[in-house]
Amino acid sequence: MASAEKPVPAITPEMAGFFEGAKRGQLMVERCEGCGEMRFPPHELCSRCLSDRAKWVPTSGRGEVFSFNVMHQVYHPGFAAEVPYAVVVVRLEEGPKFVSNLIGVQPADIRIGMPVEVTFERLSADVTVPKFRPRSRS
Amino acid sequence: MAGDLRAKCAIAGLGQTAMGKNFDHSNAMGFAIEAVQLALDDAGLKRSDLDGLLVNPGVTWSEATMASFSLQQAMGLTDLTLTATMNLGGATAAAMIMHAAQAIAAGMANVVACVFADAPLRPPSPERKAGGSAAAYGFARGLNAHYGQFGVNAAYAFVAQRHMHLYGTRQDHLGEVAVSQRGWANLNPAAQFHDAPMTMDDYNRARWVVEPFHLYDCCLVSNGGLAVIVTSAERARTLKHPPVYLLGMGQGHAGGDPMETLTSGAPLAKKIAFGMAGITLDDINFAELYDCYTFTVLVTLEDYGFCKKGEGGPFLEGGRIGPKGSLPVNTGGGQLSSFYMWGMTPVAEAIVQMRGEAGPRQVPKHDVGLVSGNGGILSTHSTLILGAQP
Ligand SMILES: [Zn+2]
Repeated sequence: MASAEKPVPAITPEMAGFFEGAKRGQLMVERCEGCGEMRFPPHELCSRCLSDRAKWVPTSGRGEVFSFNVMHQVYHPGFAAEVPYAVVVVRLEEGPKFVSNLIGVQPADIRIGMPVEVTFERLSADVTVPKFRPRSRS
Repeated sequence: MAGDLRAKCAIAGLGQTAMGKNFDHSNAMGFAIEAVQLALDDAGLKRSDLDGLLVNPGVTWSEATMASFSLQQAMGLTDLTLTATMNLGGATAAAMIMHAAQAIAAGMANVVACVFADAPLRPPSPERKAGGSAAAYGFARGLNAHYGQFGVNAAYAFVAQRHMHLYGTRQDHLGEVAVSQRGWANLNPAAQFHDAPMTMDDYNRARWVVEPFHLYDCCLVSNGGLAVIVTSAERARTLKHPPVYLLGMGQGHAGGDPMETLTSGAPLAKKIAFGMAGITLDDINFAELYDCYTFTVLVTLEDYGFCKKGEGGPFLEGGRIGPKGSLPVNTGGGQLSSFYMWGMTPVAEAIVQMRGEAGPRQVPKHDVGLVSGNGGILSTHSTLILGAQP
């Protein structure tokens, strides 16, 4: 049986800047033009100063594992061959937290506080998604 | 000022359908109607006595935005003076009861039914594997779906993992909640796991759902309906059962990121509810704490001050909240071992205990009970203090 594909994220208008950055190899977050707060996912308003002006800006792509889980149930056929697999929350150096996958690390070896950096996976001509891999602490 | 509502109102009726793999009705509203009728019978009231209807629709209620109106029409209720469809997630049940009490104390309603119903489980069929809960609660969109982050279990697991990392909370500490509550369920003939004892080894051997949650860290998604009747304390004293007085009520919704705070809205809600009731933690005889996951009970115990923040794990050791422990918690088995009806599960068990009708699981002293509701991921919180005397 051919393995099913994982769901491919749609490029919604509010996420367009994010996916353009990902194609260039940049992990983007929104920066509020009112107070400078960095945020992800994008929002219409800044929850701190309520400004409606924001720009997509590139981040360092560096951060650390803030939390993680290990998924054992198959909720979508695209993951049937991967269970158990881990989902991580990465806290970027710039502050925002980003849900993603960690490449090259077995779930049992994931630790909170592990330094990680972004890497990119091209799914189609339009859609590239960020994932993370361990980095040396430097 | 908050004391003005103390013991002004009471719960006079409890209606509970069969729970779990119950296919008596094809949809949530069917269970809601049955539950309201059972609650009226329990109180010794008629449909025409109702002038208030508050509804918390579960995830499967169709046209949920006007659920209370559709239920009113379906039940043929006329001349209501209070109605609302409410949703604070698992905090809704206690919140409905406090809003009913506020309206009754203000003279804007007299007899209010508060109801929750849901029907996420489907009858087994040859084409479909069992396990409606995964389908009902496995939603995800966009990037999260690509990364495989599906459903509430997975998001709650992030928060639990933080607690374990920061405070040294262990898997066995979560297991203490599951095993203690199973002990209570084994004393409750209506619990789905009544006939299934569980040791810590059984807990640890059960399959993972999403680490750090084993199967028995997660609640029992169920079909069913639960309703309570709230009325004035005076009126309640004329009805079939001894009143369960509403001594204290409060809500707390702290905001922020639960992965950072690791704290529910309980401290906020407690301050109001305990202040209204004029009690301290020492006055609590038993607690029915919202338990969508074992971890939620651990955090809630910390947040009410039964122990310090971060010490919930060691506090639970030795079966402290089980049938032989010093603090009876979730005495019917809770949502983990009896049935998941959002915030109505702890409310219903508290009423049974307050009335002294809990049979083999009856706690010896049941003058004052604590009920908590929790919605989202430690996002919304509600507290009730119930009393056997005004
Ligand atoms: Zn701002």
